[in-house]
Amino acid sequence: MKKIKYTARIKRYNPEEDRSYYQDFEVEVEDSLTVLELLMYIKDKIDPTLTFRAFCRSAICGSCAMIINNRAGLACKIQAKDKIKNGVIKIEPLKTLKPIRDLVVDQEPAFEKLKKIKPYLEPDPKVVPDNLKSESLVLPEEFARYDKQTDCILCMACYGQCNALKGDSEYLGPFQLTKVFRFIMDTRDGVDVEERIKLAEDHGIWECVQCQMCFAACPKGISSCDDILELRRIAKDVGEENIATRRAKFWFATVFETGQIDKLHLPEVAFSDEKGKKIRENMEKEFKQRGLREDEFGPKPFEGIEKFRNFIKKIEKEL
Amino acid sequence: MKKIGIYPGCCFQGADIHNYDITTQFLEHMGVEGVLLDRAACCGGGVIDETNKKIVYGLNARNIALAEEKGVDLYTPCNTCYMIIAKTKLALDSDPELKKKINEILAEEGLEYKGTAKIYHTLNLIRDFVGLDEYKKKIKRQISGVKVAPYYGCHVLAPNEVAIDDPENPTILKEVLEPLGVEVVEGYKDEDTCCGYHARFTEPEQKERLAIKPLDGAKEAGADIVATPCPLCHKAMDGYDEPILQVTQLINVACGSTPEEAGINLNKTEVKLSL
Amino acid sequence: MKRDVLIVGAGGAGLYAALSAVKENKDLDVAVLTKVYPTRSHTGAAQGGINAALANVDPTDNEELHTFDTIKGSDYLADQEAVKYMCYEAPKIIRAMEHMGVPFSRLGNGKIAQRPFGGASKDRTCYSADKMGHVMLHTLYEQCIKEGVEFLNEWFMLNIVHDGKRAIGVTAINIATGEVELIRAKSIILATGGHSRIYWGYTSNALGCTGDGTAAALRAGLPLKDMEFLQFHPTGLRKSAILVSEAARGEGGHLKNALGERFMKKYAPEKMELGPRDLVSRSIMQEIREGRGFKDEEGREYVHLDLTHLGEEKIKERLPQIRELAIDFEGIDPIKEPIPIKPTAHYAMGGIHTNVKCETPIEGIYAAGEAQCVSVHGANRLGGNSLLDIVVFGNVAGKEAVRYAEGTDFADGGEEKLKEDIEFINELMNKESKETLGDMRNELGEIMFKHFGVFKNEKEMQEGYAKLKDLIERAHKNLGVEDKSKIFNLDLQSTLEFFNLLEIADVLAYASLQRKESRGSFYRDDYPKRDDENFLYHSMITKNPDGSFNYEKGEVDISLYEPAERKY
Repeated sequence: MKKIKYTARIKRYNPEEDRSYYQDFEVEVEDSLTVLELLMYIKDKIDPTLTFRAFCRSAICGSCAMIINNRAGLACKIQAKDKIKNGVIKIEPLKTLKPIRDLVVDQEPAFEKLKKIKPYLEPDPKVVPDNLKSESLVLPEEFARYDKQTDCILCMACYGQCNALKGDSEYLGPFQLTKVFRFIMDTRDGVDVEERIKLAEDHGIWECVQCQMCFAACPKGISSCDDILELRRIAKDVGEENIATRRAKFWFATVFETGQIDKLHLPEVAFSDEKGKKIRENMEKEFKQRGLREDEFGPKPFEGIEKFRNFIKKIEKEL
Repeated sequence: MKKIGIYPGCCFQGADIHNYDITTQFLEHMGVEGVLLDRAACCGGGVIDETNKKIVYGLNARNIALAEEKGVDLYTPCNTCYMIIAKTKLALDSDPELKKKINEILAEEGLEYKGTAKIYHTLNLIRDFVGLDEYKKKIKRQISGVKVAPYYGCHVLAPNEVAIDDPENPTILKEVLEPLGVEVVEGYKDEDTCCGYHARFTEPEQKERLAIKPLDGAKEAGADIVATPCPLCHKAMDGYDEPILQVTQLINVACGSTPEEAGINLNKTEVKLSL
Repeated sequence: MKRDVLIVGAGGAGLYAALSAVKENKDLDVAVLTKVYPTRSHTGAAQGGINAALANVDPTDNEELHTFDTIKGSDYLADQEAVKYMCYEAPKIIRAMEHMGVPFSRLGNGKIAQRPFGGASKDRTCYSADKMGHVMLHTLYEQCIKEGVEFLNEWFMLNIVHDGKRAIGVTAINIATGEVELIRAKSIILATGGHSRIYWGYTSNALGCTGDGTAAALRAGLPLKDMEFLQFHPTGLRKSAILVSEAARGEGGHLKNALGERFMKKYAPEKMELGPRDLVSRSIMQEIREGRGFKDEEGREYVHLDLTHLGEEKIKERLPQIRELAIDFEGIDPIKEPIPIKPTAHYAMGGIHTNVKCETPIEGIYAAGEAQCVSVHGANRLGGNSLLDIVVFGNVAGKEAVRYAEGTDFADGGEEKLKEDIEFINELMNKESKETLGDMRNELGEIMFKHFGVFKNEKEMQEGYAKLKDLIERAHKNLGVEDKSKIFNLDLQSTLEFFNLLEIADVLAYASLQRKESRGSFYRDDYPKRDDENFLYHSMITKNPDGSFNYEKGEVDISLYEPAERKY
């Protein structure tokens, strides 16, 4: 058994004094410990007051999400030795939830948000039998559309380092939106897509900044940011009309036309108001000042654009 | 001279047209010949997905194939273009079926995605393509007396699979900035908070709320300017109290360009460099 | 606090009970009290699947065969009518859950897919890749949100309170504040899960599977049944004892000894790796005992579970979680290398005695799930039957609890118990520890695994029992709570859990010594044969006020099938 020495720098929170501080624990332990085993070692051998949640220790219950070396993850799933940098492993509570004590955070707000989006199936009577004599039929390829999303263990690692939440504390959160996607994709679900989308829009899909942090954090490899793009697509397809859907349509149209997005006209189209028009006029003024010719203002189709357009059409149809 | 394919993303378009000059200037200073991938198309920008996710794979397989056609690697200064193109490359390289299908369609344009071209972003271009030692030799003057807060932006560090450096404790930006003579200010509040650029046209207020956070954090930590490799972060964060520049702008100045040539005068928030 | 129906525990049994309770009568106050959060419970760790004779894969399957397989698997200690009830309910409850949104894996024709499993004569185990428990637990939680079920999260039950005839409520500590309260309830459902943590470091179970409800039931004078029966799962990971699901063998995994032999051909020539768990566990231990196992630098002995011949595609598609576990916790990719495994304490067949209506001898107190013993698993549970048991009897318990609550009022009393519990906690908090909880827990695990493990005999058990008694005495004398904070004091909670474990270990050891035969998971090498003449009974243990045990023999229902030798 190989033993290694390092420092565990743990961010603690003392609720009685409302005080956060870092405490260093010097340890000499087996090199094959998970971060959770390291925390348990410290609690058992050094400081019984160290407080953290843990339950299954096998990455399925979702209790032990925390920030380990600046990134959210499950303590039980991560090898401590992989996270030692300059002799130190840094362990902190999830960021966007309030600490209760040490590494334990208050998850209630995130659960409350989950409840807002109807996180359950309402059976579609056209698909789901009304008796217990038979099952609904779901083809494997239909299930495949949301299989990955059902892996979510509600550990809140994604939520714990979500950038959209830093901008708006009322933002629904990544795993909550993945749940919306999961139910929209389920052929058995009877809730109108429009209704599900509405629920996902309130402090939801349009506030996501696509930073990819939820995907980077997820111990199950779920990409909520991609699910959110899908939700935006669905919103557009069911007729939602707003700045974002206008952007999406214009973006595709101009890329199809020229290979590039026309950024000069984008604000005008997206905002669809005086403000957008003003932005374009200011841009044009600025370009003229810089001595650009008018045909240089926006993208021009490159040579062979017809072939490119055919390519896009084929990808859409055949891939 | 080493060659590299310049991928023209939307950061060279519209009001950001000067970014192209900054990029070519930068490559020139680095002694790298830039070959414009003139038939390249938009990477999708995380927006084309809202039409059809598959198109994103197609677009970027094609973009990479264009570089491969010219026998060069692909370079983009934009964090988002880098992330999306690199993610596509990962998907294609790990899914032979997808690669085959896309190649069948690409063949009609006389293109093929082989998987040979590497994807570069400014920071790993300096480290891996130019070499840090070689990079240091290109620097002609020191930008002294300036405290600079490095701001990576998200898409060069996440997702982990395409991160250009250790995503938990990145150092590359510091290593690139220090040789310029600036004083690097790290560990400031909200240094890893997103600039919000991608919410500009989905929820503009969200962008406003976010963009200011890292700037305020840097200011509080005593930084004079924030430096980001990403033209989108730059665009999102320029115009507030604390100034922000692109790293390539600083590099260009240190390599001999005038601040005007480096486009520093185009900043909304004025930047004064003592040279 | 007062609730008409109070469910303790939020795993599969607790959540199903809550759902059936609120659906049964919307006007009642139904609450679920849990020491964690609902989706954290150990149900989520069940990987392989849930049995029901849907006959989707094999049209010759039916409920009767399922009943027989279960009874045979139980080594004829299960109550046969109860088993029949469960197996006939199975297809209905699977469909009910399917209608709630459980994402089952599917066949090409859209029906629920089924796979072969140990001890089953047909392909009967419905699954969702290898995350069946997880998707069930989450779907049930989703439905609880839909039905507006109230949750008391992070409350730890201390004691069950009754007046000798009917339920009064429970005392519980609010972990967030440290306050102890009496929660009155007309009916109480104990769905507190299993107690395999008595084997501390040698168990697949979650850290919290500490039998809190079972221990509380014992303290409340309720009988515990068949406590000597605790199943060792054949395939726990070498280092952490974390479970590698039976699905790995169901999909064609091979067990191999150090000579590379598929040794199961000696022990179960027909069923091979798909023999029942007890048999496979003993076979592995036998190979190790006879020197054909592997040994690592730490002295840990193990054999190989080889999946490499299944190929990358099948492993990735059917067994993704198992692969992930092997990579994360053992550092081994099953696509490339065999997984090192050893038996691990896995499932308690014994528990709180109830009848088929989930009733305990005290009116208004019910039990369901792994905490409960009806018994439908007898001396050995078949894979895929535990997820079934928890929902079938969760459902029954929910309905029965409502029926009782509808016809009664809140009982008076309980103030004394509350006072006692508050004093007990205060004492514990003020006591200075002379030994550490961590060390004592490890000691418990060592004693139990060595002396009450896969193989048992009189001498080993007597020795072990003496050690256990000593440990119990020291724990009461030496163990205090070192963390003095009232807020989120998990040191206190762990200490209370440890006391529960000690009480249960005591009963298990005592019950083991009484049974001088081998049956199902219970194997003594000094009495290697089943002895129906003398031991075809349920052991029933209650605790006397002086701490001694009262041991009685309960009748086993064998009305359907005559006990026969169990051969695979």
